[in-house]
Amino acid sequence: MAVKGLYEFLAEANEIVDVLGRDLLTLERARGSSGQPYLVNGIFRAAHSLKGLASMFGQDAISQLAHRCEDLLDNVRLGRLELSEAVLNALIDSVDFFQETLDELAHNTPTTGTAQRAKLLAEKLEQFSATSKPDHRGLLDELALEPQLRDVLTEYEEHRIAENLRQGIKLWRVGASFALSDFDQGLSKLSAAMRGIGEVISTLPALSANDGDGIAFEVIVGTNVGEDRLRLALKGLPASLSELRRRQAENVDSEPPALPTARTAIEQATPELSLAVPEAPSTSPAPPPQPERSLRSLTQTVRVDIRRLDALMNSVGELLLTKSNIQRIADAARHGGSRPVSTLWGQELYRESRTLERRLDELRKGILEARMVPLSQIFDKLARLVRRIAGESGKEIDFSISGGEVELDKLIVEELSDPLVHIIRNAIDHGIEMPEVRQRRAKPRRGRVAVRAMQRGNQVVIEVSDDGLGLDHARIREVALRRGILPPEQINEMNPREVQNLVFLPGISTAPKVSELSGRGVGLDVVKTNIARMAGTIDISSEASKGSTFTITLPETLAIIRALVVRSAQRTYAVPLDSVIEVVAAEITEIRIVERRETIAIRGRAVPLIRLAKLLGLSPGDQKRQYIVLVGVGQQNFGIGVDELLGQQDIVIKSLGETFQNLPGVVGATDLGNRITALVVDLIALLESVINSERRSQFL
Amino acid sequence: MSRFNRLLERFFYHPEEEGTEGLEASLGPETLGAAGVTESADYYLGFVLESQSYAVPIYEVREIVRARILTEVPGGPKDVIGILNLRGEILPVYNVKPRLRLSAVTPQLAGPTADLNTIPKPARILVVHGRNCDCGIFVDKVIGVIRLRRSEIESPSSGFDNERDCVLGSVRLDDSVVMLLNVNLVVE
Repeated sequence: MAVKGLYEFLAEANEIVDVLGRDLLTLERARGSSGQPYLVNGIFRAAHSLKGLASMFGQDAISQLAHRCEDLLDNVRLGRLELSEAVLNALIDSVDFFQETLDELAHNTPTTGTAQRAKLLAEKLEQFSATSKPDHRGLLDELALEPQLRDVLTEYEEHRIAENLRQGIKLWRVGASFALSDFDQGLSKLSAAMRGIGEVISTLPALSANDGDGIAFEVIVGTNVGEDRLRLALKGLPASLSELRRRQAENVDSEPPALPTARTAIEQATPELSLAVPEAPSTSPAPPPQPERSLRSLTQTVRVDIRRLDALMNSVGELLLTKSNIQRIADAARHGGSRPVSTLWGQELYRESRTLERRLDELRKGILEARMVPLSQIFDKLARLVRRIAGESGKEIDFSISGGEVELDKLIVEELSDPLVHIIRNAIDHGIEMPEVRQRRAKPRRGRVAVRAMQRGNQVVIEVSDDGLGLDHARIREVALRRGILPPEQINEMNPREVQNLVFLPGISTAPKVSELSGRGVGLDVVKTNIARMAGTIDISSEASKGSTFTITLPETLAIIRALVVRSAQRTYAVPLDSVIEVVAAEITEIRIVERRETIAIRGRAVPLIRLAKLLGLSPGDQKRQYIVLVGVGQQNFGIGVDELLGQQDIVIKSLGETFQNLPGVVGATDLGNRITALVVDLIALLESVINSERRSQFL
Repeated sequence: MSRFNRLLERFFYHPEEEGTEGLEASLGPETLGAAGVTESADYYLGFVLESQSYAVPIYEVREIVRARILTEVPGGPKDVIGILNLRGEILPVYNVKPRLRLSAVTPQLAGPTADLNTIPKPARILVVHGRNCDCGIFVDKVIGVIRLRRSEIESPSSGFDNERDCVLGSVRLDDSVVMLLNVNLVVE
């Protein structure tokens, strides 16, 4: 199969599977399908689309399983099958299978047994055969519905009408006629208005004779909001309203109690999305822990609101205008011959260049916005992950998400997925206790894991908290001592906060046993490094037996940052300003040597000094004067010596690519203008790597 | 005023800056192999390293730019001279001469000792499609587009050095031998 086709298939299939997963979990939370016809219908259509898409691209395993799902869901939506927990579980397992298979395709790592697994899942789905077809005829016959209309109704629509009747929901007929030229718009407006307050069951062309230049429809709506509210919703639309009553008189047998229509459950964007994860069914054995899969997107696509793109086009248009103006001015000077360069001409040029600057800034902001995606992209996937991990570990977890609407640059969101997965796995594996243990400790049986995102200025803060065991300070100290991470006196003198931050050092794990990913002590240091790569920070706070909270702080966008431009060893470098505490100038005479290390006094305190050239493995020059860039690593400040300060500017960090994977401290490269391309250096990472290697050599 | 004029000149776009002028100058008429036109042929881009001729399949070459100052990356892989900023994209530029056992001298294109005057005028940087990412290859001179038929290509005989596993084959052209290279292996 052509690679190009595969990419497009993956992008589209991924979206469908994401929606499927999310909607199935919503259904699970709502405990059943009654009152959720849109959702069930939506899932049914998604399975259908996936089946068609997969078969078009020759993905038979996916296509066949999707077909089984579609059949199952058809039975559900027609009322022939109850959406029980077992059925839901089987469907969610199928979604997991789809996701894994897509992953394998994306990374070109096929596993044997894919066809087998698909077959097993398909058989499981087939087990849920439909119960006998419910008989709607009785109920529908009672309605005052013309035979011609009645005949045209599909099985689905009949089922929905019967369902509504059974639940005691009133049925209405909304008639509307539109001009032929724009009836589709009018009809969508009408449907949208109705969908907001009830269920649109059926849309049919009206029976009354249509005008030559118009077309009339009848929409059957189920809702209990009351006639006044309905009329209000229909205001402004060319519609008529009448209730669809039963033909017989009022002596119908008692209606079933009207169940509350959980319409709000269908509405989008509930601020808090809570997911109660059910216990693993006791009959089936706990599934073997699956190898951890990354939650990163399989494709590098971003959905952009077209209005953002329109705004960008406008910006570009404005830019072209400004460029023309500047070109005109320059042309005049070029061909002016003997005409002197006047102040007026200079002012004109200056004005245009200021306009250029403003327009470029607008363009930059517009493009940055286009790259932003909501965090819910990752959060939704986390929900499925939590469900699986909880099932594997036998723990009961209440997982809540908030702040999914907060937007971040797509690159950052992608980079976040692995660290978040790791932290959450940690929280569930080592933080949350088993249900019995929790009950004994007078804690609620279900553990709570929460992910919260919020915007703070131009930073985004993400908190992952659990109400489990919390960090065991004594154990951490013990492990740190045993592994010789730091000298004993230092460890014993640490305050609780410093002890907590020890977990971010490689090799520290207080887990009694090793699980698939966590427990080996290689996790949290990698998490910290990954987050530092995004110019972010991570912090942990914890209270024994009450729980822990990880707090990740990130800049909104990775792409453009303010940097200090410096020269060292005759080369130019850019240093992100975020990490710089301050810069001072120093004469060479002020540098002292203490214990074979250079130090310098800054406002009375001695700060260790190290030349940037030395950090990069280059030979330092012998300038009379050094500029000291002060940075903080942990609790300690360090001075980095550079030869020259060239100024500050906004830079766009470009990645160096895969060739330069393991260079500590080199974050990327940037174009400084004037045809100088400089490396962007993360001083803190550079320092840390040098310090760590020194420490290691001391202890080995 | 002359300094001002010079500044103005830089403001206006010069297409020849991108090195196409160099390529057009070095492209002669298409060089054909010995036999007729009946057999299907592949196109290669020929270049010179240390007076030895090489060629790579033309579809692997993205573009050709004039040699220019690169940015050094301390601690990077040995055969990487530095990085090139190609219209906003950062690409590593390789010196493949050591790999092909031609010379141990690195062209002075990066770092404080970089000096374009030490680089011969015909030198170019070939931007090629590598396995994982695009990259640049420093060459002393670009010969041009060569059209070869499969029958003309001799597979590497045992007489050649086995280290040169990046050689796909060789071809006789006029009175010189052109070695066909596999780009991916050369920049590994």
